[in-house]
Amino acid sequence: MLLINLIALAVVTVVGVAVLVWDQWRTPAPSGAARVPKRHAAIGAGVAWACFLGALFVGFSPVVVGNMGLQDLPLGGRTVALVPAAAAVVFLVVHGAGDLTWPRPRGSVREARLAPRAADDIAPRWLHRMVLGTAGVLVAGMIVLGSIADGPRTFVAASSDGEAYPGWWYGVPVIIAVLVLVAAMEGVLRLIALRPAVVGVPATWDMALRRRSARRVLRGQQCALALTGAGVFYRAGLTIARTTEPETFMDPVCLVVVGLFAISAVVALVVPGLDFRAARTEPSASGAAVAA
Amino acid sequence: MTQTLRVDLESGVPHYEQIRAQVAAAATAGRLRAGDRLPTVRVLAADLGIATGTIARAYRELEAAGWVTTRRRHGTVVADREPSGGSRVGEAALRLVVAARAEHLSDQDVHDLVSGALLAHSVPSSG
Repeated sequence: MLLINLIALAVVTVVGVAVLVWDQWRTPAPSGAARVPKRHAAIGAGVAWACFLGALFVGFSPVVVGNMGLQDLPLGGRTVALVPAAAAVVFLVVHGAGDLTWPRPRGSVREARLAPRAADDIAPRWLHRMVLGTAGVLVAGMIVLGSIADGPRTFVAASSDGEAYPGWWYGVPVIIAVLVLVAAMEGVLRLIALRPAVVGVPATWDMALRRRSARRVLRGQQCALALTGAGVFYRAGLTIARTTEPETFMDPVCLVVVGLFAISAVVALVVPGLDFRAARTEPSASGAAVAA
Repeated sequence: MTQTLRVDLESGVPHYEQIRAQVAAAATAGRLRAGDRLPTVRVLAADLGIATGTIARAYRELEAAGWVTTRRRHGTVVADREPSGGSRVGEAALRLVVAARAEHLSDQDVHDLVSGALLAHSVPSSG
């Protein structure tokens, strides 16, 4: 276990540093005033992603050890099902802490743009909908799996030895975790919208930095939800196939659902964010002073 | 183009009054049009780094004067308001500013002129 934890620590460190370097490299800073918030956003994101991956690694390492037969699995199945959600909560807490400690306005003369902004304005719409849709599919899937179960943890009670099934025993905590995640995600998106605007930069640059933060939060949540859904439906698919004679149609359906969850996570991670494209092309789009 | 609000924390003018005056001026000048949404109290307070109560008071004063309206689902929006005193006074104010610009007077000089004129023709207090 010590070796695994050391490897986890190394992975977390490497990923965190890589995110920081990548973020600094690709983000234009239109002025000196933009460097501090840019660095703050990069550090917050790096730490959040490192904590997310580290929590996943530490949470799932006992499962790997148990499957290799090195020792008995110390975690119950229900705990394992909640590992991605727990990692996502850590991710959101770190992101939220970064937004709550955002650099405050300084100086005796303060400026603000007279433009409204809300969580809907900063979150990429397609990604936001995909996360909410994934959460909805996961909740609906848990309800369906629980409804067709024979017992809280079994699909067919008579042949249930060693064949765990995600019935209500697993479904209820997973549904609660999904609802908590969605509520926490909306809260963090709201924090991103509410954090003080960066002064001395074009409005498009400030908005691009917010959109990038929101995109990172949504990507993390999509990964956690997809991982939970894929794991639950993979387990359900195996159990249904093994305990049903003759083989039912549910097994391939579960595997298709697993594939869709996996694809959604890959799409969320791979589709690039072009948040700073407008900021690069409109460097002088700063606000006009109302004050005489 | 987005309008920018400036608040001088060291000014003798209360912060809420600075905000109220700038929003009213922007609406008078047509830079804010009827139906334009203003940022929420919390957003503006975060951007300016001042208390939410200060922004809320400025918005209350603007609403009382008819410059803005607050709707439950739309937030605070600029109202469709005729300037008090009608178009004649507005045109006179515009002529004053044009003349001041031609004479290269500063904004502060114009403010002082108007303050002096208001003082010379002050309305007797009823109390």
